[in-house]
Amino acid sequence: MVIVSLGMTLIIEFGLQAIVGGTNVSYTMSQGPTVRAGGLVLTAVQFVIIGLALVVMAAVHVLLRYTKLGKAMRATAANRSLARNCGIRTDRIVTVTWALTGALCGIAGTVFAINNGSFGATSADLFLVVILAAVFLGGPGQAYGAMLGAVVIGLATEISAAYITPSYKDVIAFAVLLVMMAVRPGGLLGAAA
Amino acid sequence: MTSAQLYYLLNLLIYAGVDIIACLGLSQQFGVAGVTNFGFIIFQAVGAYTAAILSLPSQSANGGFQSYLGGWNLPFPVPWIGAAIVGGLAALPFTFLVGRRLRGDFAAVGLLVTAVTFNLLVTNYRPFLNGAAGLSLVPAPLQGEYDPSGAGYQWAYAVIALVLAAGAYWLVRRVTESPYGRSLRAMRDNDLVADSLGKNLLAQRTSVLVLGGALAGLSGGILVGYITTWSPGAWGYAETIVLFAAVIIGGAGSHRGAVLGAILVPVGFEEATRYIPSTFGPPGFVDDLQWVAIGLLVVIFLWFRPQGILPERRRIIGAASAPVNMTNEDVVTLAGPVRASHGAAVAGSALPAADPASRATASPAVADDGAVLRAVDLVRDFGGVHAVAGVSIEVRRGTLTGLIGPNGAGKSTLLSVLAGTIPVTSGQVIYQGRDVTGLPAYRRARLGLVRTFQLASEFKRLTVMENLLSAVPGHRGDSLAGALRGRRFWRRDEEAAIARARVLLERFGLSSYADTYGGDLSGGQRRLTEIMRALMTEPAMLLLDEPMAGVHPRLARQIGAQLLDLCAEGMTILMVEHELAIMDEFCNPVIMMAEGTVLATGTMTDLRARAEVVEAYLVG
Repeated sequence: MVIVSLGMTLIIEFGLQAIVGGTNVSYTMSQGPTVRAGGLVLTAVQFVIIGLALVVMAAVHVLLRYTKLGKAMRATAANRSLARNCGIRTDRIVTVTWALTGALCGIAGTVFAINNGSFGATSADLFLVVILAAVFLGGPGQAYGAMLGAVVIGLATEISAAYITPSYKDVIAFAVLLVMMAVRPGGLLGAAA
Repeated sequence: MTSAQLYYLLNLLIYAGVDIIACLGLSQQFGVAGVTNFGFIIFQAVGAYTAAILSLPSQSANGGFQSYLGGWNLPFPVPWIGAAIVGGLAALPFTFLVGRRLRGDFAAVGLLVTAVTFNLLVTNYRPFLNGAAGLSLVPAPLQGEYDPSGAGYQWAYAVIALVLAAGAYWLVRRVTESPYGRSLRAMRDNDLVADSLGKNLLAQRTSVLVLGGALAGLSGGILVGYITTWSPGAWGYAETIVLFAAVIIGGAGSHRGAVLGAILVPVGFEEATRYIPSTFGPPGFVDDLQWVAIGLLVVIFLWFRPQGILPERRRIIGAASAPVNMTNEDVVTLAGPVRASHGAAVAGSALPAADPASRATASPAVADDGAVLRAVDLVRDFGGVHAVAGVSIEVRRGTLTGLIGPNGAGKSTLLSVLAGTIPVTSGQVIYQGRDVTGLPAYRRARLGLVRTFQLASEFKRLTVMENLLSAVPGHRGDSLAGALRGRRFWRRDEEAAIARARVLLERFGLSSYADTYGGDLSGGQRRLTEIMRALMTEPAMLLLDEPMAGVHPRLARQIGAQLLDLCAEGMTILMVEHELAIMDEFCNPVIMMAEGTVLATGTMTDLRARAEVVEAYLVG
């Protein structure tokens, strides 16, 4: 599965690069007034991004917890053939899940571009690995684990960038993951192995 | 042929040699042993850097424009040997990622992340290996004596690269086609079961990581000697995917497949297309399309032909010498000859017995009443659930002890804890007078305490014969050193094992299935294979988890009779079973569990007489 997604990444990333070329596209919008809070400097746009992340987290929570679709998704994940025998159209659930994840990634890509101001076909190159690290840090298959993992990895990278040096920020994130794997192989919220 | 064409051809040959060595190493890890090493490229990088700093002169002597460790200026072939050794040693720290606790996707992501981390570290920390710019002006081997740009030198380089590739082929073949290779494939198919049969998973994974690392390191050394430059850009994590693509397309687990994949993918796409004129399309267009093509090939192959162009071949270990034409009907009637040859001590015991207790006294083995296995206050918690909550039992030598109880009573968990598949929360397991509580499953299996599993657990891509052979204990060929010493070293053990396996296959009526893949058997045949495999370990004590589930009732009776025969020969068996008629007929004593504790122990007759037992289980 990981191999397939890495293969797809190659297709899309380099296909895009072959078509649009390797130049970066800039995507600038007014960043709004800046706010200083305890040594952190945040623009209004960044506040909007944080708010958006919170809304998405809440929406995912509601989806998985309270809707029929969410329950069907969890049932499919837990036991696909059983879910199928209980009348869940698992193929459709899988397709819908792909579409939803695609949409979530689309939001993530948009805010990534807004925050950075520019992007190109390869600007998200390492991003995939960072995301994988966040998901596995939280515990795969755990929605709340992924949220927690993302927060931990995100803070670890950016804070270490401020205190050590920006070139090592991803190294720190990955070191966090490797330490976690040694100590708690199931992920932060995963079942103990 | 013009000299430019010759140069081009030699260049491709050298790359082919390098990629074949690397792909053979990766195929050994991924295809044979099932270790998804997404960090594989690191080992090639380690080898290349090692060869570079071993052969480079010291920093100051080299103009001082690049900074690096070492610079020992050692003569050929020391850098290549060093590359292989350091590549292998570099694999050792990774064993914690592929050990017992961390499996599958986790280890894969861990290794991927490690590969990226290493690349970032080397890129950003310049004094170590000259950072992002990388090392250049690496001396070509023997460049003092010969002219590296001459055609003769190029020819020699290509020939040496291909000879080393042939050597790598010979090496991995020797390992994979040995009993040790069989154990590796067993681990790939089902690691928990391999563990329960006495395979040391950590040692096996470590050895393939080290072997693959050494091959990757060697390939890096050869490569850097030829291109004379090495930088982090040459070993991004995507390069690992190219090698994976090669192994998958060629055929994972097949050596010829690895060679074919190495020629098709890294050589064909990456290297050969560099010579396509890049005059059409925007700059970098051809490069980009290569990556697209590699990605597409991986996805297409995994979708339509996951076994690759040259699939792993089935190892036929001639069942031909024992021609048995058995139909399903014959399988059901197998017990006749077996009992005749073997069942004198318990003649007639498999007939429905009105009073199990009377048979117990008739069985000679019970006279030796030493407890083979004792559990003392065993506790196993899952989260807040006490699956096993303070169980103390004794299993006496030569008995076929039954274990019954409602679903969720903790029977399977108890078996797992006794076998060491899962650790205890507290309590003790004493086996043959020895405290084995702290021993992992494979060590207990080597002491003769062997379990089977409730769910079918055959090694799917091993034949039935290989399934049985994989369980043989103390096989001389079942270690890396033994495998490397070659067939002559272990042939006698192998022949003895095959002979034993044939006898068992005959006894259980599966001779005609010896060369069938485990994954192609029917449910009942899988159970039989599993029991036979457990017997191949020459156990002193068997822990059977519902061995008769899904088996035809007549066949179940025959299995029961076989088990009684084995007990009469001195084996001890603890068996979980739901079918009370089986318990009535074969098991004495019977242990009754409910809600994680032992409710009662005795003959089935005793148990039926006790009110709380009937209430908990027998009536419901």
